[in-house]
Formats: sequence, C-alpha cells, structure tokens
Amino acid sequence: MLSLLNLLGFLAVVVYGLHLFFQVVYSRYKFIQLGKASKDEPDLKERIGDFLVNVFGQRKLFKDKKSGLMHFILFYTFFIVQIGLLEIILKGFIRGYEFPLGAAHRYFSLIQEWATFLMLLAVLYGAYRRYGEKVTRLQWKRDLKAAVVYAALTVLTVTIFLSLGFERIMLERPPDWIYAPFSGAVTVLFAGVGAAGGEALFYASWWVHILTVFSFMVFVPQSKQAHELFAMFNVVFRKPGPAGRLRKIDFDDEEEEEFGVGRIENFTRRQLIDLYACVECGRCTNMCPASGTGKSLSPMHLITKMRDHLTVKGAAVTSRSPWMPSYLFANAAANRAARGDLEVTESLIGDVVTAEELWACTTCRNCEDQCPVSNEHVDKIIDMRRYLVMTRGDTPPELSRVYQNIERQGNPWGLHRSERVKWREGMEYIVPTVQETSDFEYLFFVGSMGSYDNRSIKIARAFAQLLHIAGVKFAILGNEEKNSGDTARRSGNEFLFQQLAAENIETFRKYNVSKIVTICPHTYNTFKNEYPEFGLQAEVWHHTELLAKLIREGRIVPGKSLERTVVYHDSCYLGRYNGVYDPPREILKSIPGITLLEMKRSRENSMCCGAGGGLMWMEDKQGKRINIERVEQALALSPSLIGSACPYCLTMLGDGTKGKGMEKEVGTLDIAEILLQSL
Amino acid sequence: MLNILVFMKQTFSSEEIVRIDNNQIVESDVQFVINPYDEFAVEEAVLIKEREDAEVTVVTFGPQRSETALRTALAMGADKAVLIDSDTAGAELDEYAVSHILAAAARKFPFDLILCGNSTIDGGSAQTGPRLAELLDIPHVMAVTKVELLDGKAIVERDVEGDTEKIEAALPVLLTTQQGLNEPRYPTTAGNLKAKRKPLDILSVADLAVDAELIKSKTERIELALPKPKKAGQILSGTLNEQVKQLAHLLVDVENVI
Amino acid sequence: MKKVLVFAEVKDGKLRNVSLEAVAAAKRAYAGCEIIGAVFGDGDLKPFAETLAHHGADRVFLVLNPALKSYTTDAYTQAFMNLVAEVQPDAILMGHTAIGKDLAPKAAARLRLGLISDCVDLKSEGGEIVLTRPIYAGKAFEKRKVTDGMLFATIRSNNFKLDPAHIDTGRRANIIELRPEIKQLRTILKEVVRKTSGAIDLTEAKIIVSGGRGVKSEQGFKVLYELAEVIGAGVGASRGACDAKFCDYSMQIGQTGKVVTPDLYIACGISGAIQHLAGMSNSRIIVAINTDPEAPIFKVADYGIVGDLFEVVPLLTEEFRAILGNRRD
Repeated sequence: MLSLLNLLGFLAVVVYGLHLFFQVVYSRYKFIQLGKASKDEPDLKERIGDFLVNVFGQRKLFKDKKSGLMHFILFYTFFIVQIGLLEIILKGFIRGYEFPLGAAHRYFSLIQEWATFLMLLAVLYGAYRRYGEKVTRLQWKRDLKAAVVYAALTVLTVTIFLSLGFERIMLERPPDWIYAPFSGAVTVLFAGVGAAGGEALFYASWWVHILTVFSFMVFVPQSKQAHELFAMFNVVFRKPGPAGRLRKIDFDDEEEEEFGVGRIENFTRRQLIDLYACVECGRCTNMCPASGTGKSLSPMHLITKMRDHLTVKGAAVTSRSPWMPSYLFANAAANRAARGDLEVTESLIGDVVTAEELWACTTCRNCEDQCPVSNEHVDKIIDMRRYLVMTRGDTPPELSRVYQNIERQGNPWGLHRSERVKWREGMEYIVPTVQETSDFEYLFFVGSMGSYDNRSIKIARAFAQLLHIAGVKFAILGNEEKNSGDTARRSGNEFLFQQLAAENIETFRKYNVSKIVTICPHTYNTFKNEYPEFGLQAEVWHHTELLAKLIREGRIVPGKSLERTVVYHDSCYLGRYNGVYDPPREILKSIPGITLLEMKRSRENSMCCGAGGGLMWMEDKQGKRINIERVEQALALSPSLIGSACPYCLTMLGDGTKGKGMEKEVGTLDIAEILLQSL
Repeated sequence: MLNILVFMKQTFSSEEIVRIDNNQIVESDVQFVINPYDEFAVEEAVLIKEREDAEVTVVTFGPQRSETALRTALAMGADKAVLIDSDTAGAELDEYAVSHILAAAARKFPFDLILCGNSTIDGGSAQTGPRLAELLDIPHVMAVTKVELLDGKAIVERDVEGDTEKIEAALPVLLTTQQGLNEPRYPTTAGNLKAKRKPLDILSVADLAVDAELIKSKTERIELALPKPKKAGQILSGTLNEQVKQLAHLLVDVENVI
Repeated sequence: MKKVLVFAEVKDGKLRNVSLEAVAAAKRAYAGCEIIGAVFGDGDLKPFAETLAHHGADRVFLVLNPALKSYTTDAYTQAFMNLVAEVQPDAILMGHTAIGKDLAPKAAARLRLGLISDCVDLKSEGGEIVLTRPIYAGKAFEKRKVTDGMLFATIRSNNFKLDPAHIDTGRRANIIELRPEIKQLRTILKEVVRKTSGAIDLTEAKIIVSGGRGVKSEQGFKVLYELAEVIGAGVGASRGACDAKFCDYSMQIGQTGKVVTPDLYIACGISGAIQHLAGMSNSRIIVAINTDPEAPIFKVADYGIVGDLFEVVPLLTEEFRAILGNRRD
C-alpha cells in the first residue's frame, strides 16, 4: 500500500515537474521565436569544433583558472550523478536495487560517490568564492536565485549520501570504506537508529532528494541556470565568420523604414538565445573598459536587462506565463503581462537600455572573449546604435559632424581632401602614388590618421622608410584614398560604411591592387574581414605582420642597440579581433638592447585604450578616462617606452602620459618608429 | 495648421577651395551642401513641426543640382520641396531680381512663417531676407537665435553684434536664422529613403509669371579674383618688442583684421 | 554735383568708425560731390553732426523722432524713406553693420534699387564706380557695378582707412533737423541684453584669442582676457587647457568643441594638434605664440612669435591699446 502510494506520489511529482519544465522552456522558446529569422549560414564543421572545445573542453572557463576548475568538475560530475540518480529513483521502489553490473557495480559506486563528493566540494567552493572570498564579479548579481543554486545543489549532493547511507542501515549492510566511503560515513554516524529507523530515514531523504531534483529542474530554465540548456545552442548559432565581422544590412529594400534594432523583437532569434544563455558570471563586466572606469555600461547587465524585457514582452505577446507554477508567481511582472495586466514598454532604447550605455562601448570585445557561453554583446550594441543613427536620428553631435566630414572630405576632421597626400612631403621619391606608378607590389593604405594627424604622420613616414630600406615596392592611393569606414560602421552608420566600402573597393580595382598593407588595425580588420563581403579580393597585411616577415627574411636588419625597456600594448582590433599578438613582439625582440615587458592585462586580456567604436571622436565624460587607466597600468612597470601598433592607441597612450605628467620620462612610439631607430 | 516656408540655397561646402577659370567659379569636383545658415532655418521649421501641427515647404531658386540639397531638407523632415530652376532665368541675376522671383514663389503658398538663413556662404550679402519681407509686406527679424510661437505671435531673440534683443511680432513674419539657433540634425538613412518619395516640384521662372522688368538685375559682377596667395607663415624675428610691434602693424594695417 | 547720402550710426554714445569711413569712401567715389550725412535718433545729436563735418560732410540731417531712439526696422525704414525723398541723393552709402544689414536691403527693395553689400574697396573707373567685395567667406573677391538706378552700397568696417590729414576740426556743415512721421511698428523691441565682457559667442566672433596648456593655470587666462578686451575678441581654449581645468569646457575649440571661423585667431600656448586644428583651420589669419618652435601650430599660422605668451601677450595688449585708442569704434 505504502509502496503504491510512493509510486503514485512519485509519478505525480514527475509528471507535474516535467509539465512545468516543458512549459517554462517552451515559453522561452516562443519568446525567442518573436525575433527575426536569421540569414546566417554558419560553417558547421567549424561549429562542431567550437562545440567540442568550449562545451566539452570548457576552454573559456579556464580564463579564470580557479572558477574554471570548479566548473569543469561541476559540469562532468553533474552528468555522472544523473546516471546515479536513475539508480536512486529505482531504489525507491525496488528495495535494495542496484544496476545489474555484477562485480563491476562497486566501481560504479566508487565513481558515483567520488563524483558526488567532488560536486559538493565544488558547490561549497563556489559559495565560498561568492560569499567568503567575495570575488568582485560575483557581487554584481548576488541575489536570492544565486543563493538557491548553492542551497539546492548542496541539498542534492548531501541527500545522495544520506539516502545511500540510510539504505545501507535499512539493508543492514556494513559500510564499504573503499567503494562507498561517504555514504559509509553516514551509515556509521546514524548506526544507532536501527533497520526500521534506517528505512524511515531512507524514504525521507529519498523524497527530499526527489523533490529537490524536480524543483531544481523546474528552477533551472527560470534562472541563470538556463544556460545549461541554451548555452550549447549559442555556441552553434553565434555569428558566422571572423569575430570582427558585423552583419550587413541590405539597403535595397526601398520599403524598409526601420534600420537597426529599436525593439527587442527586431534582433534575430539567434541573437536572442544569448539572453537566456547568460550565466550572470560577470566575467564580461569584469574586463569591460567602460565598466572599469565608472561608465553606466555593464555588458552583463545589458544582457540581463534585455533578457528580463524579452521575458515580459514575450509574455504579453504570447500570453504565456514564464514563471511557473504561475499561481505561485502571480504578481511577477511577466505573469501579469501574460494576463494583460501590465503595460509593456515598446521603447527598448530609453526604457530598458539607455543611449548613454550604448555610446560608452569601445567595441573592444573583451566581453565576448571572456564569455564562457559565447554570448555576443557587441553586435547587439551596434544594432541598437544603427537604430539610433539611421532610424531615430539620435546621433551624438560630435559623430554627426564626423559623418558629414567623412562624406564631404573623406576624413573625420573635414580637412580638405586635396591635402590627404601632403603627409609624404619630402619623401615623394620613395612614396609614389598609384597615379604616378603602376609598378608596386603592396598598396600602402595610409588611413585618415596617418594622412592628417601630425603624430600619426610620423608613423606613416617611418613605415614608408622601412619599406624603402627593405626594397619593397609599394604605392599609395594619394588623394583618392578615403576613410575606411570603420568609424561609421562601428558607430552605427552602416549606410555610410557601405558607401565608403564600395568607393574604396572600386578604387582598388581601378589600380589592380592585390596586396594591401596598413598601419591601422581598424582599417586592417575591416579590409580583411568585412570588405570581402562587398567584393574586395586582396591580401591584407598589418604593418607589423609585414615588418616581422621582412626581418625574418633578412631584408630589415635591426643593428643598433637601443637599451630601452618597452611595454607593449596590444590593440583590440589587432589582438582580440585578429589574433595578431606575436609579430609586434617578434619585431621588438629582434631589436638588440630592447627589454620587453608585459602588462598583467596583455594579449587577449589587453585593456582597450578607449578609442574604438567611434569613441575617438567623442568626449570621455563619465567616470575616469579609459586611457588614463590603461597608461597607469603601463607606467606601473616603470618602462622607458610604451609601444603600440595603432595610431588611435598611440594617441590615447600619448595623451595619457601627458595627462600623468610623464611624457618626458616615458615615450610612446609605434613599433615602426622603434624599429627605424635601430637601423 | 501652421504653414512654414523655408527659403534655402545650395552652396559649396565650407571647406571647399575656390577656383576661378575664365572669370567663372569652377564647379566641377566640388562638394555641395545646404547653405549652413539655411540649415538652421530648415531645422527650426522641422522642430516647430515636431511641437505643433505644421507643414514645411522648402523652396530654392537655383540650378538643377540644387535638387540634392532639397532632398536633404526633405530627409531632415520637410514635407514638400519646390525648385525654381535658375537655368530658365537666362542671365546671372542679382539680389534685386532674385527677390522678386522668390516673392512670386512665396505668393503661391499660404504661409504663416517664413524662415531663411541670415546669409549665404558664397554670395554673403545677407539681402534676401529683408528684401523678400519688404516685397511681401510682412515684418522681418534678422539673425534670430531663439524662436517661440505663441498665440499667433513670434517671440524671438536675435543676435546684434554680441548683444541679444528680444523682439515680438505678429505672424506672418519672416525670420532669418543665425548660428546658435539650433543644431541641425544629421539626416537618418530612414529619412533619406523617405525623402525620395516626398513631393519635389520643379518650376521655371516663366511659371511664376513675374513682370519681366522686375527680374532684370540692377547690379552686375564684372570680375572675379582670388585673394593674394597666402604667404607661407612667417615666424617673426627681432627683439620681442620689435616682433610685437611688427605683429600689431601687420594685423591692423596690412591684414585689416583689427 | 553728385549728392551722396551717408547714413551714420551712433553706438554707445559715439559715432561709429565705419560711418566715418563711409564718408571717406564717398569722397573717393565722386570727386567734388556734396556729402550729406544723416544721424537718426532722439535728443541732442549736434555733436555727431559736427564730427561728420570734420570728416567732410557738407550737410548733415538730424532725423529725430522718439521712435528712433532704438533701432527697429519699421521706424528706421519709414524715416529713411522720408530722408531720401527730402535729399534726392545720387548715391547712398552706409556701414555693413547689424543696422546696415537690416536697413539697407529693405530700403533698397522699397526704392527699387540694387545694393552692393560688404564692400572692401571702391574705385572710380571711367566714370563708373566699381566696388570690390569678398565672396565665399573671403576665399575670392568680386568686382561689381551698378547697371541701373543709383549706387547704393554698404562698406565693411576697417577697410576704408581714414587719413588724419583730411580731418579738419574747423570745418562746418549745414545742420538740418528732419522730423518724420512714424506710424505703426510691426516689431516690438522688448528687451536688450548687453553682452558681458568675455561672453562673445565664439562661433560668431570675428577675432578670437585662444589659450592652450601653455597658459599653465586658470589665472594664466587673465592676460588673454585683457588682450581680448582691447581688441574686441572672444576667448577660446584648446582641449588640453580645459582638461587641465584652466577653463570651462564651453570655451573649447576643436573636434569635439566649437568650430570657429574668425577673421583672426590668436593661438597662445597651443601646440596645434589636429583635433584643435579641426575647429579653427578655416580662420582667415592665424597667429601663433608658443615657446616651442617645432609646435605644429606654426605650420598653419600666418604669423608666429616664438616666445613666452606671458611676455608676448601683455606687450601686444599695450601695443593694441595704443593703436586703437586713437580710433573710435
């Protein structure tokens, strides 16, 4: 009788639990489906590789070694413990049940016991990280739901030991210290209760375990634990192509009046998966240069705010209550929205996310690089910028001026286009234009900074000299060169970007350009990763890649010793976007007398200088200046030089040293300038 | 509903280099824009439209290429555009003649408010506004830096060589717009696409049926010249006192900037 | 004998210099013409008539009406039409001032005349008067003449130099009072807010004195303000100075600040980074004062002094004070 009740009770829990679980998951699936269909075509082979490395290999998690190990353990023990769960369930109906593994069952038990124990340790360690060690990034979303996770998993693991331990007492078996040590400890501790007591306690702890399992199951998709379901899809469905490439907009549809994303449902479905995949781990915000200097932007909060908005809006549109059981959460906003009892805002930018946050992003992608579930924050920010600039007309005035200047004169300052070629004054004999010669191997795309900015002109001239010394045949576009369009694209003016791309690509075709080299990582990134979609067919080189090659080939020989200590700053668009970390270092190491120092935040973890995403042209008004923060990190190593490979970074770092009053003690030079000094 | 007429002109972009060939200004390979002062007028009209029920018509007397400038004004938010093709006028017309053409155009529309830039960055004579107001027999206020409409009146602030005057006038009134009035918006891509579908009518001077005598110029340009080429910058020399005296002399007597 | 009517303006209790320059221009235009000055206002305007006489006016009309105390378009236009009917001139000249820009085109429209504005030079060539004026913000010049009707022109200040030899303080003119009837005024002047010193709107300023990091402190700007006061300039700053808290960001000129197009830009202690140039490179004349002869600003400056601004600027202020004290505007 009792066992029949037990079974019925269990089935009721299972059926109800599964029902709630599917409702919750299905609701979120329906909310995601409110988004637009995507035209992306990911490379499946590449994605399977990603999947193996990031999901099974948990690679990104190890960017934080301690948490990485903890999670790796949690991840795998979870699967192992699930298998043991099946056995435990059956134990509730079949007295003393064990999987029919014969003599091998003890190994099964061993694995289960240790897996459960490691899981418990990992959970306790996790709780310690958040509440004891108070790791900063775990404090930003320290809410009840996070506490529930630690509590539930602790109860889960402990009740496994209790159940197994009480079962032994019930079955009057002695503890097995080798193959079931932990449940053995329970057996010994409670030995005094006797077989009947053991039976009662067994069923009690069994029920606690079952209820915990199924409540947790229903809890998972309603919390950050939803990542367990959504993260794997995220890895497969992230944006195809190189990390630096943004999705293009098709402007041919004359009927289209809305560009970019002004409402949550205008994101693609694949973009919306990100929102439910977020684990609220804070790694993104932890590395974000904006968050780190007091701006209102926090990548994590951006994602969670949009997630919460999607949940409420989705509920309103589909009339599905996302929080289950619904009677328990009747007053939750989304449940009220599902009943039609709540007015939901249409204004994504303004009510959910502020324009201020959107304009604080430098597009450095440190967030995306850190995210263990492969969330993509940057393209969403840019999609919303596109809406502000191309639809709503809410462009910061400094940017409007830049756009106008680029439209009229091909450079962000509006200096006359006929003066673009003036940077080569005095060097015309070694820097020919394509109008003057057709005998060149590389097209040196100088860029707006290199052509007009006094400081950056020195980089262009140094590089030109190096190419000449190495005997490389090159030419420049002269006054036919126009801004690459990176500033326009990253700040949301996709239309202007496509216009510039079309014009530049046409110019390249006109002069039969097949190899391009540039001193600017932004130009490098957009030419290499984005222009091909618009028809560019050429090899694209960054000047440090080419110089490193020339040194390897012996065409440039750094002979003079320089006796300087150099801190090298990795540019975001060269490093994180394109993986170019070593060529600049190779160049520096090849120069005698140079000691290379690495900042704590270097390579993938390099901190942005603050100029990307169009922010070069805007004022840094909130909080601390990003470039000052970065320069302080460099100065902490007491270098005599700060080296960079980007005109923006050079400007930012140079200004930063001036701001700290250190410009006389610590120079800021481009790699090309340093190399030239040693010839 | 408030009817707003904006008179605007297409000019060279302000950074353009001026070239002269055969006593004519060279227009090839030049970036054209809405005259920056007229942009303030267009923007103000659109701002008023955003606040109250109004219709904005932009009018240009200019060559065919002015159409792009009118489309930009439409993209900023104007409702209709009219181009009076100056190529149908025959000779180069001066401010006197042009004002009669513009007045005839204005009379074709109902208007409560006329806005135009204080001056153009090419001709720069700043005559259009007052002449037009006189021909239409309406009051005008020049160089406004703030506009408020209340109960059929325009309450404006204007810039007078640094001082600010507060002036009131009953509608209809003509206002010429000055820097500081507003920050003209950058037309959105959505705006640009919508603008392609907004009405833009092209009229010939004949369509306006103006008395032939009134569209004859009273003044004439007889020669064009470039300024003396800018010498390479000089770094002065001598004792500090000598340099200072030399600089003062240069600025006051030679360059006439003080 | 030709009659040339010169509309003379009074500002802050003084006859404006440009009005006297208009008299000089009239003399240049027509040899032996009768120069008729006119001053509008209310009260005792005789001293102004006397000054005009010293500079060459033969007759001076004092156009009096309480409505003419402050400028309004309608009042002045009505009075002006009255004056023109009375004088029956062969030519009309006035300064290209705020009043000139407002009154001249309106009167020209009413009189069915052409108008040549903002002239910087005047020549009599074969019986014809040819006027030169800047176009495209001074990037080019055009020569214009009248083809029908009388000459009506406004002249730009400071271009028709006064020759002190031609000023005769003993000269007398016939002074006539004219009291026109002035009817309905359609614009009502409610208030005039005078500019406070140093508050010239930078974007419209004709002269700007600007300070950079070389000014070294908030107090350092004082010398610049003194110079600005004397030459009637606005005061601006580079980003570096604003960042260093030497001045308020509202004074910032540059890429992310204000874009200015003055006739004269005096850059003190400014290195000339491209972000700053983007805000002032269209200035007609650029003067640079900097201790560093390699500073990029010298590449775009028309005139440069390599020196410490704290020595140079006060000297300049004194020099201008001396020169301008002799002028009246």
